[in-house]
Amino acid sequence: MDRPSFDAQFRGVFGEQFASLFRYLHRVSGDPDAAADAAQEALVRLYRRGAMPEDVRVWLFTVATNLVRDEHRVSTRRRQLLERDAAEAGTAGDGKTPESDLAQGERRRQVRSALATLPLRDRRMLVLRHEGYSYREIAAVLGIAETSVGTLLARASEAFRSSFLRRHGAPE
Amino acid sequence: MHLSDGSLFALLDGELPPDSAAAVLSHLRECPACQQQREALERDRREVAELVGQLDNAPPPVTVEMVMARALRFGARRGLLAAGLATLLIGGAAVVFATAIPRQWLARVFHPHAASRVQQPSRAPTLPTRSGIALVPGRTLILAFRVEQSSGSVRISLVTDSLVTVLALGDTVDYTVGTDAVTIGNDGRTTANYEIRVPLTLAHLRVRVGDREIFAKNDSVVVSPVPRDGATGEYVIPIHFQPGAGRAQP
Repeated sequence: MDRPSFDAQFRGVFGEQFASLFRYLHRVSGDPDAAADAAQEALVRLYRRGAMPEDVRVWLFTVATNLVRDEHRVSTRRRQLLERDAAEAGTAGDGKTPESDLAQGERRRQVRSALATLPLRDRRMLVLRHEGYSYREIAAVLGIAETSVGTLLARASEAFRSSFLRRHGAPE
Repeated sequence: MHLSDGSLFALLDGELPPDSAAAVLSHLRECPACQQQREALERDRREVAELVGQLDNAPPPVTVEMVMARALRFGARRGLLAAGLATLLIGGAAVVFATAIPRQWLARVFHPHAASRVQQPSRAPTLPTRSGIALVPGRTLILAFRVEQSSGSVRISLVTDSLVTVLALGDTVDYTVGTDAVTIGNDGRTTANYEIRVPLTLAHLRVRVGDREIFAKNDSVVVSPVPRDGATGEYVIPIHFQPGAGRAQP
């Protein structure tokens, strides 16, 4: 494939995948900066590759997942973000922010904290599924058997829901 | 025998092959307990989807041109780097410091755009006891010195896992490269400015000016915040040398 054709394909992939990639990484890591970095880096690597992989979506998410695979690194930063969120929530009564934004921010913090209690693989699996990934794609990205995805997803969903309920009560 | 949660979940997700789905649906028609479990799973699944959906955040304002420019900028120097760094690794820091040859060789490696213009500095820099670059294949780090420098002393320590490029666009740049750092000579007598650019994704980096640490990143923790260039996805660490001050002002 010549370069102009690849560039055109790459532009299409970027348009289709960047937002989704960022959402996935942000949800998994809880860190928007790290998510933005890793999403860009994965796309940079694709562009440098100069040829499209067979399944570009799986390739991109696999690379991005590896970029944030260091759980310790992610969790350290996430703890800081959660502490910041908690501090912001505690000082949110200054009347400058609309009430709905506050409630939304608080709920987001609650969801993030519940998600953070899950093992990294469960978190990734849950987020990938909610990003519209098929069981085959989830299995490919996470390196697990496709036949076990349903079972693991059921457990991860239950664990997440239980964690949320323990911490914050029933979802509205 | 009841259906597993995995099978029910796959059914709800539409991920069961047709023959398996038919068998599961057939069982469900006959088994109230499994029907009840399916309803419970469906409810949980809906709640989880709603909760996860609340985490949505708008993506950063990154364009495809930014990503392509970043890829091209790194890629253009990769071949040169590979050769240079392989030589550096094979030769080892001892060879680098034990011979006078590396100066010109390093100029070719680190000054690809103006290799012929790199000159031997008029004054030898004061070298730290340890200097050089630690290199582990994998990530790429670029330390870019965008302007000429002529005085002072800068030490850049690369703590872990980075391939390193140093670009100097000025005419007179004096480097010493060892096993874990790049040291740039500068005796503080004239004004000189540097711009060090490193990817936001870099895990570990320390930048020192003399005995002061002006930037440190350890995992995701940035000890000394510096500006970011959103277009290139880099930290930008400016260092300004004041004539006669004898030390740099970050």
